Amino acid sequence: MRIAAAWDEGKYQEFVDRFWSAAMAHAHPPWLTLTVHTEAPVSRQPEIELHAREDDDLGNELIEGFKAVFGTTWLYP
Amino acid sequence: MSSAIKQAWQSTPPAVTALIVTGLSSLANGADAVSNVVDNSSGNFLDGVFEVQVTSGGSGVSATGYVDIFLQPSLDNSNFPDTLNDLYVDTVQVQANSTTYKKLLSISKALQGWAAPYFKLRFHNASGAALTAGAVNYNLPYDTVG
Repeated sequence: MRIAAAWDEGKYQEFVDRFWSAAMAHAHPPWLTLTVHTEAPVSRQPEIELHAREDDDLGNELIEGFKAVFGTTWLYP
Repeated sequence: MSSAIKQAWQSTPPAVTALIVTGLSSLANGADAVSNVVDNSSGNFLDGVFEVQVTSGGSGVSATGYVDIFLQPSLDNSNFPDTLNDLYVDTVQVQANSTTYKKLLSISKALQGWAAPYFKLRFHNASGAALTAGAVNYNLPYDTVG
């Protein structure tokens, strides 16, 4: 799943502190990415994108955390 | 009679342009930041020289830490490679706390002889801690036969 939100430095720091840093302390599977885009593919605006697997406990936890912190999110195919 | 093969800069000394990379100055460990688009569609320069400067976190930086840099070229300024399939460019070693690291690098080895009409750079932080500063400048030099 590729889930994205508008870039927000404060929410980014909150997501990193609450979810991402803990995940990185244990493992970093190659399919798990957190990317800040200066020009996102569609909007051409700054966005943050989480690429994670829903069928994985770690991935699912990060997806739910991403939704909780950023609020308004959308999916990319 | 032989002639020298030279590279010509657009100006002397080479003028640099800032590359905007949102999030680079606070990039979390394990995370990526992708720059804005460099429009090379009219110049068709074969190379780009980039000055990369990052400052490591105050604690937790790995003795084997680094920041990897990748190239995301595009033919149409719309379709860019995803982060799992872009082109490796170079690595900045980042191996001590609270330290600024600088590197000058070329993207030509990733392009292997062709000119990318549009491209972005992706920065992957594997230093072990969040960066505390980051900046990128670049110049696109001419390639000529003298």
